[in-house]
Amino acid sequence: MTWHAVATFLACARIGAIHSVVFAGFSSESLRDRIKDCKSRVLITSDEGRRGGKTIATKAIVDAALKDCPEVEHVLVLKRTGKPVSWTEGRDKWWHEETLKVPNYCPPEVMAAEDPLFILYVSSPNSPTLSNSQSWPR
Amino acid sequence: MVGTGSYLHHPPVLIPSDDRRAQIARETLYWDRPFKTVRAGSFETGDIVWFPEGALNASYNCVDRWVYTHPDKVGIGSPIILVVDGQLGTMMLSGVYHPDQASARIQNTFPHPCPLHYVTKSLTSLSNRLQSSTRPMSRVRVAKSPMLNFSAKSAALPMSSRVWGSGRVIPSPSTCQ
Repeated sequence: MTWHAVATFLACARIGAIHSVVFAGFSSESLRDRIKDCKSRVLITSDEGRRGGKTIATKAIVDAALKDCPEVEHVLVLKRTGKPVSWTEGRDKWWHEETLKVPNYCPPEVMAAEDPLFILYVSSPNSPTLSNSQSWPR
Repeated sequence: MVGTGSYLHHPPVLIPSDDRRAQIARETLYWDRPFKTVRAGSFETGDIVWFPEGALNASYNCVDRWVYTHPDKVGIGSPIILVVDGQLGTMMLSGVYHPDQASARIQNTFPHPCPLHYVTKSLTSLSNRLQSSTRPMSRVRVAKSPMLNFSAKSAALPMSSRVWGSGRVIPSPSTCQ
């Protein structure tokens, strides 16, 4: 995990988008189930992840999961290790390229206190249970 | 703050009254629209709602608010440091808060809805700036009870053009640097 992940959580909260964080160690099937569960339209990942001294091919897992998820319109990819990854033109976008195209400041969206903020699964991957947390405090 | 605290080695945690909850909510969060009710419905019937009339933004409360609460320590244009897994990341609030520039720039530059990566752009640009800057980094200081003191006049303005306190203008990045 990099600081970009935290920035992404905050960015989603800022525009009122609901985010669902998926652990990088999950299989493509688990990832696919979570994407389908909340009908995600955008997925944000890195080319590869690092965890406990190991490298995880996150982009490859994402590509496998998205074969069954045509509703995902865009994948924003952070260049973490720089390893070449497979690329779907039009769908995949590099983080470092896209962030250069936009202004520095985004005004926060005013959200109702009971609007969903994020989706967090609180039980096992086999039987996901949603914890749909509202705007805090909870 | 919540829970009945049925841990074996832990005394029960007091559940605050609704009045206390309202006090905590007002003191620790910035509400774009104040709430009137603390809660309605119940856990038993599964229809509980919290602060139903209230409106706020979690990202504003996590980041922006601290810039206003400590304008001397952290101002517009100052870096806010994020440390994740030992990696240093930075973000900043840029100068469109300046009232003279705010309305025009925001109306011109921000379509609705905003693309997701507006905030992340701040992070990238600041990260670059930090690396070339010799200015000491500011850190977000967490106060125990941040008291938000927007003037009535500024509270009526959109969030993007608020000024701190009694008409004091938050400096734009050009004056900060």
